[in-house]
Amino acid sequence: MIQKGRIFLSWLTMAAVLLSFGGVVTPFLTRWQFLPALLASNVLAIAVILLVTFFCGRLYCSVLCPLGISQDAIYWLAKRRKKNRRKFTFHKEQRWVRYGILAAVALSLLMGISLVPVLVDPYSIFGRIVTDILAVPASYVWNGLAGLSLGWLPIISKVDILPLAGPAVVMAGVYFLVLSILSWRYGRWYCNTLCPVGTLLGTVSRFSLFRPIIDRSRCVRCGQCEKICRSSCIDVAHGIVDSSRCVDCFDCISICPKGALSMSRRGRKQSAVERTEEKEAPEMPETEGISRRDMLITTAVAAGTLAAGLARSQPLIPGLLGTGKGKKAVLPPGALSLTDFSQHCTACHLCVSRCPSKVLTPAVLENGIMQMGQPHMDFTRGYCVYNCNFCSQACPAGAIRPLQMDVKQQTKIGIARYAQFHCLIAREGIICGNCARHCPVQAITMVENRDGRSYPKVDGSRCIGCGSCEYHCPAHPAAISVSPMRS
Amino acid sequence: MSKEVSRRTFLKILGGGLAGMAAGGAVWKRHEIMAFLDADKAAADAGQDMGRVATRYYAPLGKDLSLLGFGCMRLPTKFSAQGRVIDTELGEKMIDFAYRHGINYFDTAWFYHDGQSEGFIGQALKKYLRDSVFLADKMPTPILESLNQAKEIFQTQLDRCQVTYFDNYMLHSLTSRDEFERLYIQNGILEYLRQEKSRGRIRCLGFSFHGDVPFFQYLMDLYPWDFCMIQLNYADWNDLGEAPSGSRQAGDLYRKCREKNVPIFVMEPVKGGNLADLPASSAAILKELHPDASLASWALRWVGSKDGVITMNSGMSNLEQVLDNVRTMSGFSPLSPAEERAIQRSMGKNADSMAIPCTYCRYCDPCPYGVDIATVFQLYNRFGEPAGIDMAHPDRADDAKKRQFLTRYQNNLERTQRASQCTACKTCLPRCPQHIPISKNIRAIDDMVQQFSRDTGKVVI
Repeated sequence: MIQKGRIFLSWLTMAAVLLSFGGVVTPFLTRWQFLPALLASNVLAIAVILLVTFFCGRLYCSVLCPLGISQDAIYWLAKRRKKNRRKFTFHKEQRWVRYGILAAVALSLLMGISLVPVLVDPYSIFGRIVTDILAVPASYVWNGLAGLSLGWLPIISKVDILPLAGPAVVMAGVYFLVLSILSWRYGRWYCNTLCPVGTLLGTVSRFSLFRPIIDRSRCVRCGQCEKICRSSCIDVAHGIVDSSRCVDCFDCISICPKGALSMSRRGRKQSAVERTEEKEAPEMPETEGISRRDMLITTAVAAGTLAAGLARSQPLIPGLLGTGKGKKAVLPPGALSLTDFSQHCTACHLCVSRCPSKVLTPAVLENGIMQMGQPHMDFTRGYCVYNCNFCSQACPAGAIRPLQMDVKQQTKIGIARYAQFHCLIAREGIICGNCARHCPVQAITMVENRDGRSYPKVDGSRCIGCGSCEYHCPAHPAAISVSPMRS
Repeated sequence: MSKEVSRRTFLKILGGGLAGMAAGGAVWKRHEIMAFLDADKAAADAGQDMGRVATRYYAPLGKDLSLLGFGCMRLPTKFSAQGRVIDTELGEKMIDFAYRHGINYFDTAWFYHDGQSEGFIGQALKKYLRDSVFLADKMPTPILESLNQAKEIFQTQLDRCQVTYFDNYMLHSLTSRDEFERLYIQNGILEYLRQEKSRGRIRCLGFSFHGDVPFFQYLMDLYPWDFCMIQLNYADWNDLGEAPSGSRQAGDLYRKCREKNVPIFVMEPVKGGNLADLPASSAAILKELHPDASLASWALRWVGSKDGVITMNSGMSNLEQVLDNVRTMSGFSPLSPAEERAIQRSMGKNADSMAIPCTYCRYCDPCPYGVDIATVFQLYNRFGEPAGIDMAHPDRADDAKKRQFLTRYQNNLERTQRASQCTACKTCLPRCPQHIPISKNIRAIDDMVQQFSRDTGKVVI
């Protein structure tokens, strides 16, 4: 029952997140993803997630994390495909890896380096896989539907399919392959070893009020629960469940033939059990297999990560490595500065996915090494459309601050500069004027020169740097291009 | 600024009046008309600029005449002891209304209202400066017998109108060459009128015409008329090479006038009201393109869009028509090509009704900048104008139409093939067997698409 509920909720989440990425619905669940919410100082979301985790364990991992749900889906496929289905066995947690990664994330947050969280944050990995890989076949299917409907009613608009952003595709592809294999074979191994969010929530769920507890009076040690535990966290021999790793999939509860497993209040039933069956479990490790000292350290790391995340807008240790201090780049309207942007962005590519003109595209080295994978603006692909603020409305991490349309339309993100040398007018005598015609704020006028031809002239006070001129410029390289603002 | 506001107020008054009438039934009652005209006058007295009817420069007088003239043939009447007489009080208010809104050309004749019209208009215009209004009168051809009678009539007309000269004077209703030659040449009446012109009692001499094309050509070649008055409307138009039949000869008359460079005054621009009452299928075509415009306004704007037309006199038999005509002419804009074609289509002419005469032969390919010219044109020809979208007035289409067109456009063209890529390099122009101004049209479609995109928020780049 409870397992069915978990599956139902996870489907809903998956649908909502995918539709958000597909641009069909306004993104809302993406704001509840842990790391982005932390970076956006979305205190409400963080508090609710932590409270829920404290109450009943890592429900977040099974019903809210899209990457977790995807892994569950792959694991489910694996279960169906293999006749001789894989049996999990209890493993001890790889504590050093878990907390090492969490500590590295915390440290890099403190230093304002975004690359580390970008590499391991589950939601962002999922976003990149959707945007850079799954979106491609999805677009073709969608356009096929649009083609079918063409004869009757033009309801479905095709999406413009642009050349793939190669490095981003490769990166997302590697993640996709590795995670698929891992979850196919080892279930939620990633979530309990690499994922910093899983680790952080694990330190809370270690103390959660409700958790799967084995009633040893009923348990016959058949081991079925241990064999299907995707987190490998059930130790039947000792009759314990490591709740810091349990992702609340509830499979064990529904599979137990004796009804010995249930979500129960911590301490109560177990202590009663312990009292009666103390002899049978003489090597019972202290509180679920972790020493008090370790517990203090892990809790400190987790608390430090939270603090570092919330303090992100003011990195405590000044950036050492290419955080782009003083460096300028053309950023989507709503981003404050390159430093602030790259410190917040987790490269989930939700903005890339939703950008209707596709001017936002994953960067390789355009903005710097530390900004790799984060979006940048490529005006050869498109331009920032005047009456669109999708990216600023979508960004869950606060890298692009939400802007109302009228504010967005007055936000300068750069300034167009004209190089007559490349211009078609100068080179071929074609009075093109495409830049002036397409300027949404009439910042470009065609002014007659001494040679009797009209050349574009940019009014810097009006220009908002949307790049419409650069996109529409037929010259290669473009004779008019957007540069970052100087100030 | 204040002009803008009051202009809107004015149009609102007119619009409100029309809507009120449409709701209330056919025609307003007399006291309602009076109340409306008084309210209009009060607004004008309060200093509101009421907007004015468009004007045209009339070279023979060196003055600007209102594009819409006031015909004094169907003035309001009432019963009295002498039978039906002009309702002077109401009539004068209507004249004042017209004058307030910039109408300065008044057209009367001997026959109108059994001779009462001339006396009435003379009285009504007395309060205005003589050179701020332009008065036209006509020599009543059908009752003419002798030169002396003509002299008598002319003097009577001056006396009735209480003026010392007429701005325009016409030989009324010329229908046959025999009659013309007998009366005006052999009896010397034309010679007499020419003398009156040199004496200054006639400023411009012309004629109003109801004959056939050869007679018209003969007349135009005979004498250097200052102007002429012809029946011109889109239903009576015949294209070059199309033989005139019945009243369908306006094209020939018009072309002759242009050839002789004679200013044109127009009668029956709405063809006696026929063009204000089209069959439903025809009306639907026009309504689709411009839902707010009356059918009569299409006819008036068609005439007003013709070069050489100075003033058109529309029979204004009730206030509803006057208001509609004034409204049309106050915000006058010439017909766009799409609107012209819509008129053609409404008359069942489909052959030349394609928006862009492209045959999709693709001789223009390849465009150096990648524009898929033929597809862009085909999209506009198939889904633009037939769906009621006008390239010249993209703002008139509603959101649903705009979105539909954008979807078609987006679904059938890759980004690199769209009209926004055009640089007007004109490589395509000499390749086009149909001599279409390709870059001009491509850019117009691009502008339209950009505007649709801005208006609807649907991003097509």
